[in-house]
This record gives sequence, structure tokens and C-alpha cells, in this order.
Amino acid sequence: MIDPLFGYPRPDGRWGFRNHVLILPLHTAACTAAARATALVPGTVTVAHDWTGEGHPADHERVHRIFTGFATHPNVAGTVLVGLDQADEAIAAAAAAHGHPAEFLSLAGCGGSAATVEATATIARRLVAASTQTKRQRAPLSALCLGLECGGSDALSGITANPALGVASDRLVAAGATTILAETSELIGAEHLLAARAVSPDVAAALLATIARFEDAASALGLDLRNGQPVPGNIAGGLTTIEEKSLGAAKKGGNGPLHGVVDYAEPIRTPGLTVMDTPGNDIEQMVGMVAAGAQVVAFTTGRGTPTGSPIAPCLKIATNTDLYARLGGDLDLDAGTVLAGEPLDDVGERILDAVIDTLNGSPTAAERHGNREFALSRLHPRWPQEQA
Amino acid sequence: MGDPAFQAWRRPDGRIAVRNHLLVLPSVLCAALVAQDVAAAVGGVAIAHQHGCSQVGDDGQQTAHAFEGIACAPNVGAVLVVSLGCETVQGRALADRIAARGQRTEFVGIQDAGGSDGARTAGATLGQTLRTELETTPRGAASAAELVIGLEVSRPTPLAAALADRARAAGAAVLVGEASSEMGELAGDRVAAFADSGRRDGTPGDRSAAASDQAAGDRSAAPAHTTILTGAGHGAQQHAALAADGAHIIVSFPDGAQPPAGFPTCPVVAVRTASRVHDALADEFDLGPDTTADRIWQRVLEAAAGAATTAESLGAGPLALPRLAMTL
Repeated sequence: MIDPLFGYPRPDGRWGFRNHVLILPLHTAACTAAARATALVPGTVTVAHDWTGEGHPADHERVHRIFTGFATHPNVAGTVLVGLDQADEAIAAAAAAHGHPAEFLSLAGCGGSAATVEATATIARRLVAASTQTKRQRAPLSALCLGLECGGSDALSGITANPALGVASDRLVAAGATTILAETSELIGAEHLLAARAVSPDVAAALLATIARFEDAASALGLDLRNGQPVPGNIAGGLTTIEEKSLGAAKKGGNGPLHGVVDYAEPIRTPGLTVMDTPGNDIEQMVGMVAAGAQVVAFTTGRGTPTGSPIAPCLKIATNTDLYARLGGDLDLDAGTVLAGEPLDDVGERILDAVIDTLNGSPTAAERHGNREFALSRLHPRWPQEQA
Repeated sequence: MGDPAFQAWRRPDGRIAVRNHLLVLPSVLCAALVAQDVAAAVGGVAIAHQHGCSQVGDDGQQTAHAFEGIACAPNVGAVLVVSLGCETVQGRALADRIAARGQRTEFVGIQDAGGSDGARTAGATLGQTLRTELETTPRGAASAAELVIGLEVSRPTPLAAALADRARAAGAAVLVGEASSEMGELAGDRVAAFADSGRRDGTPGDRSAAASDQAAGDRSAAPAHTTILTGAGHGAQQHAALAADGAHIIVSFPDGAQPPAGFPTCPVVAVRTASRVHDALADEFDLGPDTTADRIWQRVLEAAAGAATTAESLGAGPLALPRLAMTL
């Protein structure tokens, strides 16, 4: 029996489980003004990034998806988009198409940062006031999209926390929800197991193509993936190879069918377990899943990390009890109890309860600390030099 | 030279400093919030960035070198490295390399310190110690000939070239972020790769050897030169490159479509063009499009003497680093 879920219905039919007002800078130059306006208006959140509007066309599209996904996210009641000039207004149009309260202004349009801060704060205050009119209502489990993540993995990740999270994922998917398994670099070596669970040959082919594309891109750059994975903390935690890391990482997706494969930050249209093509980097992965519509992230860790998302609660699950004892302030749950004999199903059940509690409003450790990490993932970071 | 002397700090290696910052440097984005909180608690400057993990090969190395260079720049008097622990750009090793270059350095790791709250507490204690030490940094008369001026140019212009000439006439060294293969009148007499300064003996842009000679009384040992920094990218990426290669002050000539930007450890003097975007943001610049090299140089000397530039008043945005490969 899964506990009842209460959320905020949004105009586009999705459900939110937080009621943030987001001040979203669309250009790196707008980040300081956005941060100053955020400090003036309680109930608002913002992000910082280094986007200047210059990039490979594929990265324009990618960054556009991230910005649009955040601006229209169901956990966001309203958004102030702060651009450099009128050219940034395209994102605002995309947000408006969702019926989402989103208002655009620009540094150039306001005539400098002081005026921009003032105008942004004025709009944000109005959006915060409007957001309090929306009350939580009973939401169906099919409204839920859970991002599955592991970061700072150790040798226990694949034995304790990841399979326990897989139990929770299977339960939610059976109830009609969506879960996202990501980190393409950490599915390498486990793709045959996932492909065998695909609901159709097309989905299996899409999965294998995603992994192959990632490996090709890496080798085209002359990169040895084993150079970047496992990262130093993984090795200290007892992981020896990328394959070992992957077999453990894939267990977050449980044992049920694989319903679909999507691109980075691409909205997910059909429920079930979905693989998203993201980097293994903790923050870039989380941003991609949240931009796609995940309202909550369940994040297993063997080394401990405080990170969270600006707009989605992120629940931290320790892979070992020693870590939970040492870094408890940054962690929400201990799955190391599996080693002491607690059945995986029971730990999965505890994770599921905690996910529902979190969605219903209980703050995570990352939310209590104000962790709101954000990064823009790029496919062509050397643009335009790479043309030369 | 006719330029007046000004008061500046002096580093143990003889270089002058026009600011005396305590830099709180996160080795990875995951440590940025703790770094920001510690900096706020002890009066340091933190750098916000999105780098440091899942970067392979040269890309990870270049990021580490950039962090190292920024931390060893003359305006930074002491560094507190804040690490998560499992990141690719390992914070402890980064702190060791910064310290090996003679910088006063401390380290705190989140995973070692019992989590982010423990790291905040330990970081604040270490930061307070460094802050107190910085109060005793020696200060005295310095000359314009001891300055390293960074030029951020979106495209080489006669005004930027005239400023480079003016700085060299004063005996200052000039670093130019390479914006294109056509550098025109801004062609330098030396070339250095991004964030390479100080990492190899005799690398251009590294003024420490020359400055030591100056301290010994041999001012002719520091011939003014113009160094072109390659691989720095554009705009804010150039700021990081110029700071990492030892610039005291950055003079910024942004493209008409791009706004000016600050940098956490360097005063930035921003020069406006006559574009629509720049007109609308006129208050964010220090000087207008009709200015002269002499007037820019005057503003540089005022900033060197301690006057806050417009970017310093407004606060710096996120750091941008050139990247060589996608994040894995």
C-alpha cells in the first residue's frame, strides 16, 4: 500500500510537489541581478550558470530544453525570466505555450542591473502571492516522476542502496508512475541487461544506440572512458572498473520493463521506467532529469554529497551505515542496513515511504541546507574553436 | 615614467598586489555552497563555477591548472580550498600544488569533515586564521611598471592596441586574451597557452622572476612585453585566463552584443561600444565609447590605487572556463 500523494495541479495537466517561484537568468550576465532579486523576495529560488548565448546549434537546443524545462516545471508555480535583451524572449514564449505563469524582462530592456533587480522583485512578489492561492490536492501516483541517481558510489552501492531503490522504482512504476534511469557513462557494460527488459525492439535499439553514440563521441575525442570513470572517490570506495560501477548503477532501475529512451532534458510523454541520455556528472544528470519533469530525485551515495536541485527535493540514501553515521547531516536514509540483515524489500519500502513523505512536503537534508546546484551540460564545449 | 606611485601590497615573491583577497576556492561545483558560506562568514571571495568532476584527460588538467593559476595570482593573498572528496579535480592535490607555488593555502574537505556542516565550521576557523594573517601583508609604494594588465578583447581594435602601447610605455606587462587569429596591432612578442603561466620556468606572463629582480633593485630586468594567451576562448573565459596568468587588473572591451562582466579577484575596467545593448547598460561600464587610451590608463591607475571599478561594485557572476571536452 503506497501512502496517498498530495500535490499542486498545474495548467498543463502535470502535478507539482513544491510551489517555488523561479527567477531564471537566461544569460550569465543576468545571474547577479537574479540573485539579488531572489535575496529580496522570500519564496523565490534562482540558478547561476555561464551561458552567453554562444554555442554549437546542438547546445543551443540543449540549453533551450533545460531553460524551458525549468521555467515550466510543475514544482514551479511561476517564473520570472531575466534575459540580456529581447533576443532571449523565445524561452518565454515556450513557457507561455504551457499555460505556465512566466514573465520576461531583460537587462537591456530595464536599462541596467539596478532597474532589473527592482522590476524582477516586483514581478516575483506578485507570483509568490499568486502561488499561495494554490492548495495541495490528492494527486494520482501516475502524476509522479522520480529521478534515480547515484553519486560518489562505492563497492556497496550495487548491493545495498541501488537495488533497494530499484525495489521502490518497480513499485512506483507498477502503480503508474514514471522513473528515470540516467548516467549513460554508467550504463556502459550493463546495456545488454537493460535491452533485454525493453518493452519493444525499438526501445531496445534506442538504448543500444544511445550507449554506442556516447562511446563513439568519447573515442572521437580521443578519450579513454576508463580515465574518467570510476572517479577517484569511487576507487577509494572499492570500485575497480566502469563495468562494475555500471552493473551496480543500473540496479536503481529495478527489474521491471524498460518503457522508453529519451534525450537529455527531453520531456517524458509515457509513464514507466525511462532511460535518459545524460553525463554521469551528478549535477548535469540531475538538471537533465529535473528539466524533463522529475518532481523528486532519489540519490544514493557511498561517499556522501550535499547537493540538491533548486526546484526539486533530492533525497540522499547512504549505501553504508558508517557513512550515514559520519555524514548524517547531509543524508536522509541509511540503506547500509541491508548488510545487517534488513531485507532489500523492506529497505525499498522505507525509501518509497520517504519519497512520498518528501513529495508531500517534508524537507530533505539538501533543502534544509539550501543546496541548489545547477550546471548547463554541453555537447560541444569547444565551440567555435572546434571548427578551426 | 611620469605615472605616480601608488600604495600596494607586496607578496613574498616580490610581486605587487592591488587587492588582498582571501580566496575560497571550491574544487568542484558540489563544494560551491560551502565555499560561498565560508567566504561570507570570514570576508573572503568565493568563486562560483560548474566544473571539477567527470572531466577526462586534458580537460580535467586544464581546469585544475586554471584553478591553480587563479589561486596563485598576485591579488590573492591566501587560499582556502574547499573540496567534496570524490571529485575528479581532487581538492587536496590542488591545494598541495597551490602551496608548492608559494601561496599560503589551507584545505577543508566535506567528506573528511563530517559533512557540509562540519566543513562550514572547520572552513570558517581556517578562513578566520588566514584573514587575520592577511592583515599583516606588507604595504608600500609601487610603480605602474610593476603592473600586469590583462586585456579582454572580443576583436582587436585601435583603442585596445593604443592602451597596450600606453601600458607598455609605463613599463607594465600586458596579457591579451586571444580572440581570433587576426590580432592585428595587438600582436604580442610572446605567446603562452591558457593557464600555463608560472607552471613552467620562463613562461611569458610570469612576472615573479622579473619582480624578484626588481625587488633587488634591477628594474631593467623586467622589460615590458605583450603576451598573447591562446586557447582562452571569449568574454568571461578570457577573464579567467588573464587572472590565472597573473593579471592585476583586467581592461575589458566586450563585443557590442555582450555585456560586461566582473571577476572575483581582479578589478575589471570595462569599456563600452556604441551598440544598442551597451547603450542600455551604460551604467555597468566604467568608460564610454569615445574614451581614449590615456583616460583608460588613468582609470587603471585609480583602480590599482584602490578605487572600486563598476564591476567590483556590482559583484562578479559565475566563473566561465574554456573546456576541451564534454563532461562524462
